[in-house]
Amino acid sequence: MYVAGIDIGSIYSKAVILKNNQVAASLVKRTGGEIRTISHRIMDEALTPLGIQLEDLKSIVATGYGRISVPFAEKQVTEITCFGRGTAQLFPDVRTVIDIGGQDSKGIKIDERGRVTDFVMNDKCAAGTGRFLEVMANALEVNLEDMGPLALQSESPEEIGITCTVFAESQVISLVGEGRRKVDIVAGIHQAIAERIYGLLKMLKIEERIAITGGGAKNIGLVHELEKRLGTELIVPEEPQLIGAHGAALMAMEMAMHRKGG
Amino acid sequence: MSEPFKTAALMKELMAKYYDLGEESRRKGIPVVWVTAVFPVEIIYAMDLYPYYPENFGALASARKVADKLSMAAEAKGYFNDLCGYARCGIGDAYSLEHPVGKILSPDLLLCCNTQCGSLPKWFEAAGRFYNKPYFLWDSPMIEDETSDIKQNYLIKQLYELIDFLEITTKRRFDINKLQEVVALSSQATALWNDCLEMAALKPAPFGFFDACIHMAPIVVWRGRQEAVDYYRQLKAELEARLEKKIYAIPNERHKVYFDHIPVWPRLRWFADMFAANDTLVAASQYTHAWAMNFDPARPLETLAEHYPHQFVNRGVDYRLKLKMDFMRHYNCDGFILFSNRSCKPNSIGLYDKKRMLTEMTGLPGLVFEGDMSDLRFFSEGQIKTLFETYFEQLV
Repeated sequence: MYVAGIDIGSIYSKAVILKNNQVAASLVKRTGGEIRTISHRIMDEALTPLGIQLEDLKSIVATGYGRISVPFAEKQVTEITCFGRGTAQLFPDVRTVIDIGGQDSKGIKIDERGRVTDFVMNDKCAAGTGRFLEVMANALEVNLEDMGPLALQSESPEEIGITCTVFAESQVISLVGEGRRKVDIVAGIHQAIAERIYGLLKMLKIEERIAITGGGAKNIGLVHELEKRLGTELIVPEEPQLIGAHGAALMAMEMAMHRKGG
Repeated sequence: MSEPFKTAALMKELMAKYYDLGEESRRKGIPVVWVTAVFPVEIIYAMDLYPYYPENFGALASARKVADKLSMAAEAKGYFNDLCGYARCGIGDAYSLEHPVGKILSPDLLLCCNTQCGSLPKWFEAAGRFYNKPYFLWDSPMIEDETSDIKQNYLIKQLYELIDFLEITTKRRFDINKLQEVVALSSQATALWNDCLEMAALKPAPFGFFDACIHMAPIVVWRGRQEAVDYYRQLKAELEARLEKKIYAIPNERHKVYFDHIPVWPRLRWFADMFAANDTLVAASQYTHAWAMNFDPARPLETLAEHYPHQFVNRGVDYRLKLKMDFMRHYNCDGFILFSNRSCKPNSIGLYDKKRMLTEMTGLPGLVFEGDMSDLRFFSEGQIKTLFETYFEQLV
């Protein structure tokens, strides 16, 4: 029995296809254009290698900011709930999830079954999110993937204020203009983001173990800065961006099983 | 939100009458007195003056989704967009050439109490200078927990000063017997208002917070007059009739929650629909309960001094936590929502700590969301929707 979870994020869209609780296929694709079209395209791409079609899926759950616009989803569930579920299945002893997505960062507390017990999310501001990192990488003319490793090379990070993405960007441009070392600026950016996320997490009663998910988890510099502040090692899933879609797929499986049983 | 009430027609009529009375007062030379929402308006009615509520103007502009336009007129004069949205609407309208909700009625006198916050006195002071009219502040000390004789005497003494101020500036006599009558009417209306709010404790309930936000206008502006008594008597009767006919506030009430604050006025319907779609009734709020007072007309000045400055905004953290818990218990709530309102700093301080403490003490899940009661420039729909939907998933 096949089911799917689809997670339409603000920068990337993700899909996970489960076959009897095992991942049969998964895909990450840049979101762009109309969500309905993207949803179809990502599912086609994920299903074609399996030789199956949308109709063959017993259930589909959509999550992410674009969840409401996925035309074929049986149910919409928020990404917070899905990230909780997905993480718990992969790492049952995790109690706190840090999710760094494109347009928001979140702290999620979960119980042993992956149910959300408490959560926080950044307010209406891109500072501390994946989008912020993208803007900074652009301003520095550095590839996004190189940002993390670069940050680790610095010995004296610059101080970057991060009350606002736009102000931080102009500050970074000024620092570049002054001829400051790129690695120090990049390291400063990572410290600032980590500080912001750490501030958000402090609103929760953080419990170990802690996992980090979302696109931000792929940034080794950010993971390192957060670990320093939290004083503990973070669990980084192999495919951190897929955890939400995975959680959605697990819920789809549950619905399909329930139907079968009922 | 409930299906339309028959009483709504009466409210429309009453509110039109209230605004007409303002214009008429201006024509007849009856002083227009600006007052804050939590102020002993009974004294003003007792002296046959016309009380005007600039906060009500702010709420109206907010509900009509023009707060940003008015605010920008105030911002152009140097007022920061971080100030109270009501103040930005009032100040903006004073400076603006366009008046999308009608022109704010200019004052002959300005009376303010600082029991609600520190922004109102500053707004009224600025307005006093702008319109060049006398301003009186009823200064309330913070009442952390229990009041003291010193505080009480200080408040009462100032009411005598207020009466002197009004007699001198308006050349009208104050009559304590008249005040007693007005306080008695006020007390009847506030008791009836409380009866209506109480109905939200029933399950399923015929009335909830979003209904209360619509039906609160008369308790704010007509409190102290027969009109308010008649209005809430009729509303209460209609609610009782609805109960018999099994007409409820939301179609399928499964959960009740407590909402801590003023609503997001320009999104009132959006919030009401979202809660209803998730089978959750917002049962109570300290905000709508602020006018559910219980005066003693036999001691008119004392009773006013006892009630108005004792409102939740002027109290200490412990008292405020207890108040929220009492509401949650009384209304049998399954959770609570705390609104971090950019416009209202005194209500938004320490919310994450309060949320943690309330959850520890009650075991109920809470949610803090950020936005603004007036201005949609500070409202991020996608994020707020995700927050609330996650919360509803948590409640189930």
